[in-house]
Amino acid sequence: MEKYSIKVQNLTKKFGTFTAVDDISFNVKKGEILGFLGPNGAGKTTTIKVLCGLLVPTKGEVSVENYDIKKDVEKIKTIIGYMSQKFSLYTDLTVYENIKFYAGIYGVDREEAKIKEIIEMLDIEEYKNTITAELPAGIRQRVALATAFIHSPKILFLDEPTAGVDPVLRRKFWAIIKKWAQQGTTILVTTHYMDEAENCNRIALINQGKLVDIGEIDEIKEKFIKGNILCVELSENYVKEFNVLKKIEMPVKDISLHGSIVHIIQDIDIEEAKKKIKDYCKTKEIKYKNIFEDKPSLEDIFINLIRKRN
Amino acid sequence: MLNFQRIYALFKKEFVEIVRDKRSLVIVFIMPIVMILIYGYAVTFDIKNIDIGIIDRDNSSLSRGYINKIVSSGYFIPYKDAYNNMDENIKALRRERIKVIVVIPSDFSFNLKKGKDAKIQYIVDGSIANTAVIGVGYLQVLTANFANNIKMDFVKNKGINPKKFPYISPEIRVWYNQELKSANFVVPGLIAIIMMLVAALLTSLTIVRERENGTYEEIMSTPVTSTELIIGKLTPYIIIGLIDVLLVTLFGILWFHVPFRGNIITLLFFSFLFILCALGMGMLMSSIAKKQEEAIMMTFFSTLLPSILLSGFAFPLESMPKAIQVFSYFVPARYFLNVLRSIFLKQDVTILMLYKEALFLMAVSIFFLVLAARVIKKRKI
Repeated sequence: MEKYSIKVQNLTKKFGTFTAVDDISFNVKKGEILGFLGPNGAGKTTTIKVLCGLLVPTKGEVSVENYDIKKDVEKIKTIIGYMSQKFSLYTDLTVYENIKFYAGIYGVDREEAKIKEIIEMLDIEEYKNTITAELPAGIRQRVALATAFIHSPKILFLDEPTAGVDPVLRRKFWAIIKKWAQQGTTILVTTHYMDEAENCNRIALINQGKLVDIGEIDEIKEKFIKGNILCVELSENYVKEFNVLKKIEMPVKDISLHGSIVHIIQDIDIEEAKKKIKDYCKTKEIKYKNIFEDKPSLEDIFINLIRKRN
Repeated sequence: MLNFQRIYALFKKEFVEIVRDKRSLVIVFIMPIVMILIYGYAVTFDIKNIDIGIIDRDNSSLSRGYINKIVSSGYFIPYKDAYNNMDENIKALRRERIKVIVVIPSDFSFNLKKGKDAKIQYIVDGSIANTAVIGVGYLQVLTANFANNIKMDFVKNKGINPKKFPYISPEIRVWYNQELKSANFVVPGLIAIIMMLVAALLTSLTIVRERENGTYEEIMSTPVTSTELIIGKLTPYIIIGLIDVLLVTLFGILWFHVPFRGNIITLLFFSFLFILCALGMGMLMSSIAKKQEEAIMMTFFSTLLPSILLSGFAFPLESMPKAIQVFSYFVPARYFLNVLRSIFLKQDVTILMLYKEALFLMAVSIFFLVLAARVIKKRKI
């Protein structure tokens, strides 16, 4: 059996002179959740749109479930589900009517049973007959998900599926996605919430249209962040103090501010580094609350990535 | 292969959206009635009550008889305040209080009585050319008539029986619109223009609205083909359009008392073809435009103006330069207008008799629909 659900070879997409996606290659395994991670304008959405047949690639080979995107795009469209950035729904229609419309478009068998099932699964029964224009973002997101999944697609493309949705609902959303992946659906998702990327089996880092790296989260972390991370929790004046702390004389690979906590990435011995920082803070009168070691997060990688770009 | 299940799903969705969208309902039901009411009264080619100034320098029974003939015709209203005052009349002409000044010279009756030719001067405001031409035409007829009577009297006085005097009298029979009522051909023409606007305007939003809402992208990621999309989206508008035709027709018959002499099947058949053209044009605009406002503007310019100017609705096509006449062949309203005037005013007009119009309408609708489908397919999102 074919191991990969999506195969992308040297994909390039240009808009005029602007290269949105620049010669990227990757494969997506069946039943995995692959997260596309990257800053805005990195080319994540463009890549997804090419895979959905919404954009024609300028160059490169793309196959989805062994169908060639150039020849068999109509066949591909029957086996994928796509949820765009805006949770686009027909706002004059009710939740039920929206789902029923897509069920009709995809020619879903046992339509009513299927609609009932997905409405129950996504816990939107109480909104069934509500006009979608009146729904809060979190519910609209789930309705959009229902319309994209009504035909049980083999592959589900989610473009920033949780933007503007509160954290509790986001967790619920991910629980559903994970369940579907376990049942065999391949899921390709873009996000810029770093914590969410931790839900993915693998992540692809995309920056300026190029694929920077793809792999399991731990692999990527190790590759990008060599050394350890020391966190210094600062007091109220953290911005000012951070600027002072930046000038510390020790081999720092990266230093960044996350809220009131400074992440210092470096690779000398951890205890020695701690002492150096403490001493420096004393001489510069930085009132820190705490110094502790932490595992590198995707956020560190992300900031690292953007910093390299600039 | 068309998938009818998908077409049906699109049809149903579109229909529910139209019914729930107040703006669409206004375009469908209010706009046509308001338009036919306003334009039905405003667009009239009947010229009545032309204001004229009168200078009677002769002041005889003959000159008064002549003036009486003009005034009693019903087409002219004398401007009494400036009677016999040339300066005032010229001022009135300048500020458009009157359109024509009739000057009867002092030797008018003298010459006539002597059996000589008499002259009458008309001073006409040519800045409103249409009214001027028609007004002068009326005056000429009235004058010729008056002159003929004088001639007859003269002949009688010479002792000759006027009935033996040779004379050609035209026997005019106006067919189809006996009273030459302007409404009888304005209202059918209006139906074409209203339907063009309503149908094109409705569909001009259908795709661009989805594009703005983002639903278009989702639709394009489904297996729906551009042909299915067009058929599914257009069918509800065809039904609505046909209902609109009946609505406006009924209004024209009941309110403006326009006769309806043809048959309803012929009307519906041609309305279907014409609506298809209009929808095709709207669809094309919708698939090209990036914003709803843009689509509306494009639709107005590409449908409404040509339909009024180049269809023969207001201005006869025969008198236009050749190049513009060629352009008018691409204006669907041109054919529908012919059809409507025939159906309303003439009896026993069948679909077969109007086969040329039918073929042209079919060709134009296919042209626009195919073009729209190609744009949709090529543009994708």
